Amino acid sequence: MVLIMSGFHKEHELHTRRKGRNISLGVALGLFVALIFAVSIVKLSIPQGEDIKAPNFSLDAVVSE
Amino acid sequence: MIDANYMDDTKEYDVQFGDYVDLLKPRVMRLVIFTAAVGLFTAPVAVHPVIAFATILCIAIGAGASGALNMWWDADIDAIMKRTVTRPIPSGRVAKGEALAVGLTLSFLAVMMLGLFGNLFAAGLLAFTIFFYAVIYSMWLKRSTPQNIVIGGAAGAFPPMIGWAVATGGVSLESILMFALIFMWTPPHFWALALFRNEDYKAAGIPMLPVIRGTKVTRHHILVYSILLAPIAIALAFTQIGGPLYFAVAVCFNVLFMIGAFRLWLRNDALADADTYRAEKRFFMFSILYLFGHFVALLVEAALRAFDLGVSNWPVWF
Repeated sequence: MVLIMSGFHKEHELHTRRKGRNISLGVALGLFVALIFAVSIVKLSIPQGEDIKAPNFSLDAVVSE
Repeated sequence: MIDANYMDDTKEYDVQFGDYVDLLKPRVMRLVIFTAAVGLFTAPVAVHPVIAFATILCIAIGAGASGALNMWWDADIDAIMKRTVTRPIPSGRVAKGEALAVGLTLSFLAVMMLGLFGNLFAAGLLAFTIFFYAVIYSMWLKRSTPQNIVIGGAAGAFPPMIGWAVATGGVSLESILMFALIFMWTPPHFWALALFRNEDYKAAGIPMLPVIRGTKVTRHHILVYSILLAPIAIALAFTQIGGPLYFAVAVCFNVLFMIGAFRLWLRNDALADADTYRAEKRFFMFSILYLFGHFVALLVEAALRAFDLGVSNWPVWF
């Protein structure tokens, strides 16, 4: 039984060969997510123009509250 | 029926991440990143550094994606030319279909993200640039006319205009002049390359100017375009993004560029063969420095203005 299980866990040669590519792709996707997060924070914290404001958004209304 | 052979296929060369990066023409991307950044940072509207980084990345990825589409379309001629034979598709590292998939996916992603990070106008310009390079230049002009590089040069001229559009949301004379600078610079730059790579282009059947009209006409064209380029380059000095430093740099580079073009005009094939196209190769290398120098000068002018060190009474005529 142990022998059978160890057979399942043995990494296939294909995965070993593609490890570098998969890690690089994972890192690239992680950086992409981080970039979207960073841009979202910036867009939400600094008014960039009319296009990102919610309908009827007014700074005066926020201040008066 | 189960295909028992599929495991054998896995023993073939596996595409590495770097092969995909090579598809994006990293050297061209470097120039795109630099010129787009200059367009963005010289604009009169300040952009948050994170937004600037994200949008320049989108422009670079978009340019890279158009490079992948170019490699997909030109795989047959890339395999013939010495300069391109080591590219991912002709060298067998990446399949043609994969290059197409990478090109289309990244094009879509870059345009969409630029629209979200920057603005729709900049995204539209990027989409048009990708279309222009992949369809107008690669699929249509490149194999059909010796003026391919003249019109196709527009694709490489758009990045500073897109950078400017990210900041301002539009086009202005400054961004048009930056576009014109690269547009007019491209023909003499590539014709100098075509002179010493003539045999390559002949073998691949690409109708470059030296192949169709001969090297004498090409040398003439290089001189004419170099003369026409100078007033455009110098005109930028008298816009809001110019200044005395840029003016001095532009004058020096354009004088040297025209001298180089004049030297090429005086030469013929016998002289070029005798010294293995030394002057042509030097002119080609200098043309890269020429463009780099102009954009560095614009960036320095922008930095000086940002720190209130610019010349306040510098004439702005345009």
